[in-house]
Amino acid sequence: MNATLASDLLKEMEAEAPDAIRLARLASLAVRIERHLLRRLRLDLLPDADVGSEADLWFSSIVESRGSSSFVIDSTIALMLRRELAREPGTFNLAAKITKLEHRHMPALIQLEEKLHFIAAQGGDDVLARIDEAMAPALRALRRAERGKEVARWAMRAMPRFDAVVRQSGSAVAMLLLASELLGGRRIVRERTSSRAALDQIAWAMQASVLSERARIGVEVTETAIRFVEDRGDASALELPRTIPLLVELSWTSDDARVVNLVEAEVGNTFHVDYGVNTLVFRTLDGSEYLLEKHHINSKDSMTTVFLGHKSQDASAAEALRDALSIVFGRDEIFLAEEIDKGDDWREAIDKALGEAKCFVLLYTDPQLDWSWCFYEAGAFAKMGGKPERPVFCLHPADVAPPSPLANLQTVPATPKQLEKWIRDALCRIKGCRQPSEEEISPRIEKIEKLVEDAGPVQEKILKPFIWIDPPGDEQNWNDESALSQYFSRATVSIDAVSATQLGYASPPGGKHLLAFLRELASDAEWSDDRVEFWIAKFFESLRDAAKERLLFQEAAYFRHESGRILRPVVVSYAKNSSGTKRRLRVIFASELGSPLTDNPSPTQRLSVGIRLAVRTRLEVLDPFLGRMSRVHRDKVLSKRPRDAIARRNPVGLRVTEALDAILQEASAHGMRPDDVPPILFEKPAQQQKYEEIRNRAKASWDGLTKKALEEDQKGMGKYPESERLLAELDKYNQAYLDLCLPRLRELLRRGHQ
Amino acid sequence: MPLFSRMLHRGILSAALSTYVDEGEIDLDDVIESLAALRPLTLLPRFRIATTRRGVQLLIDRAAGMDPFLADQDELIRQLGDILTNDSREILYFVECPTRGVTDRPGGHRRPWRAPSSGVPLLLVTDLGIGGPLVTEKRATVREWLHFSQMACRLGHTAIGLVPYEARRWPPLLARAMVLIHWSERTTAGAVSRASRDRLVRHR
Repeated sequence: MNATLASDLLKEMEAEAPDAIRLARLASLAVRIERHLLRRLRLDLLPDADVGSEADLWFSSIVESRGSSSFVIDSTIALMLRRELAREPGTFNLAAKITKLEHRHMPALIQLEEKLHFIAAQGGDDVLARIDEAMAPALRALRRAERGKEVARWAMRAMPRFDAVVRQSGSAVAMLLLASELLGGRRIVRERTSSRAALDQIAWAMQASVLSERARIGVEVTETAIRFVEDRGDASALELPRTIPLLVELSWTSDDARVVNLVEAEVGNTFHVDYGVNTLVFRTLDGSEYLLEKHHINSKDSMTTVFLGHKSQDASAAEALRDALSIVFGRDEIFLAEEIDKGDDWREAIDKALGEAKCFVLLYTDPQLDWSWCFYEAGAFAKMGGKPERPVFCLHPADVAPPSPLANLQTVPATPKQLEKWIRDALCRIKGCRQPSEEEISPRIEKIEKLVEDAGPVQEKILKPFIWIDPPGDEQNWNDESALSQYFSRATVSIDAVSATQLGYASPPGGKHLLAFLRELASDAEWSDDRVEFWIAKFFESLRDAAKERLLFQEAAYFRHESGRILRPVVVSYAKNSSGTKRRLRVIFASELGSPLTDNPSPTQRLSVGIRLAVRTRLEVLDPFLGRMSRVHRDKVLSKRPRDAIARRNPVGLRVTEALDAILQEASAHGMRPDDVPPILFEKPAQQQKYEEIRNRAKASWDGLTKKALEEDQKGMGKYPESERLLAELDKYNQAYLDLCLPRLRELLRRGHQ
Repeated sequence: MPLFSRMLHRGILSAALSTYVDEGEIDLDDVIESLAALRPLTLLPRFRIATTRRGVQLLIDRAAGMDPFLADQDELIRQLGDILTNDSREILYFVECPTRGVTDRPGGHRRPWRAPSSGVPLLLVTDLGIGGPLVTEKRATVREWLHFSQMACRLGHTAIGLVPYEARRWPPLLARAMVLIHWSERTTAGAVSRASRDRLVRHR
């Protein structure tokens, strides 16, 4: 069973019978699972699981074989389960202890197999040493005539079921060789043997008879790999003992460290070598040594098997794809156009590569890009006749549709299943090589999937809720403020179902006018025929600015939705046709924390907002600048420090007027405009009169300050005597306003409460 | 590690297999009432008591679905020996459903099922076709089991099923037609008594 299928099965079973899968995890260390082991594991480690989970596991699809007294879990799945179990060391150790106890009467080889499962799943830096130690008795038994065959048969059954780390140990490699010899030259495991063990680690176990017959094999060396080929006399060759599998130790020095590998010297096997290594040492089982110098092979001289077509911006992805595909093809067999040497005729090089290649792989990433050149290359490849079965593969992200213009296109979505199928069924067939093992192919698939997905287009997600606004088609004089409201009131709203639901509609309202739509949303809409609500007017101004393609200048218009939330409609995009006769504006409704805007505040609202803004004036204008304008000028505008580069360009007067303007804008948004007739806030005429007097004087100081501060900036002297005087006046009136209005607000609030 | 522990199996099995007979103490209240009303005492009224005297016909399912519980079945036979004599228990084996025939020993010659004497409870150790291999053509159907339980009921027997799956997985029709007991280490004699009582109430 391959890893993908195994993983799918586990997920399926996890959903259907979670207790059974927990039980399977606990039992995964056992070679065979009998009733008593299952019962003991359940009762001791899963006391909350029902007895039925035993039968659920017994008859589940993860079971490879079952008899009337025991069953065996599929080896790939058991391996996964053991790895999962090892993540909980406490339970892992208990399960191992119970398995060992319940299987104490089992044959020694079964107990050894379970011990090796335990060591491999436990891992650690010394895992190989512990495996070697555990296997030593079996290896010795293998050399004895009376038990040798029994152990060899066990090795043939058990070896493929082990975690790869077990097979990489020196003892396992020695066992493979000896067992094969004992079983008449039969291959013990299908996958290629590859180990970090040195020859010395296994030499002690080898019998002279194993080393007697000889074989010759050719070796080709490229920049980053060696490849074993038939010995035709025209390449370097090794003579080595004819073991099954043929093994040779390959070593080199990289970064002052000696790298040693046991490699299977089988025709077609390619083994990667560190880049930049020039000298390779081969040592055979009988101790013979061969020294091989790498000769640098220029890609243009080698034969192309795969033409890898891609966009220039995907060059690094293409390079990574070539590396990942080295599981099948040598690096030089995959043609990448950017590696054509400068000065070469690139057209000729491409034609040559297209002519030689046995397949064309198009790395298709983003449909928004212009693929005409890649399609041309693919088309040229397909048209080159006389070479049947030259497929064109289109490798693309799973969520991107493949292109349609290519004939005979075989699409390969970058999913683990499809990639595995592609590599095994198509690429290995083209190459004529043997199938890579599960351990070899899985990381490559993962890498390809990631690189293709990473190269794919960025998917835009639109925030919701949003609406489309279609203004009326008639011409609009954007500068006519009076007509603005009428114009946008007649705009039509389109909305999708999700947004409609989020905005409180049961179903999307069709063809509604904007003004009615907005009023339906707002909890305090006035529905007046002759005027629009203040926040709607502000929003229309935003729409006008947006229609002039000035999305940055939007009025802060927010309102209280019928649900109680405060929402702010924000124009996020603007679309129009080429003639400009059709326009559309997309508006999202964002949550807002501020209080909703109003055009007609009550006295309590006026007082509370007014007091808050008086405090804001104190904190943001008076405290930082009153009596300090010249000092701020020295500290900021005259500063020589690099960090004050921006500060130097903003004179003090401008800072004061900007701060005042922000406060004025907020007051205006809440319906408090200095040019309006003073509102009635007090019942007693004397108080009302005093309020109006403060208001008028403060307004005069405010206006004077905004004017004088800029004038004194212009002088550039860094002196602000007039501004300071007006700030002092403003401070006086601000304080007087607070003294008068705070008791009044308290009075109004208390009254409202009573 | 049997499903009914050595400590509890007597209580559980007794509760499951007990039948009721009018052989208890004399019901004095009833006697006085009859005499006071000048009614002749034709029968001496006695209280009902539970007994396992009638024995049991043990029917063991040897279909593949019960493979995980073969050892438990053997243990159950031994446990029954603790509360019943050999001549009061008849042990029969079947595959999937007794309507398909029974044997005297596993793998023996199959013959049609014959009911024991009236009133003898039937203890069926089975998965009712709930479990077993994913693909099997032979699995017993609910209809087959229903047919069997109705036939047993007509002949005056209580069909009691020992099922190694939780109650939520029992076919609802069968759960109503038979006394089903969860065959589990968590099962108690009290729960079994309640299940038997519930069935009596249902059939009254």
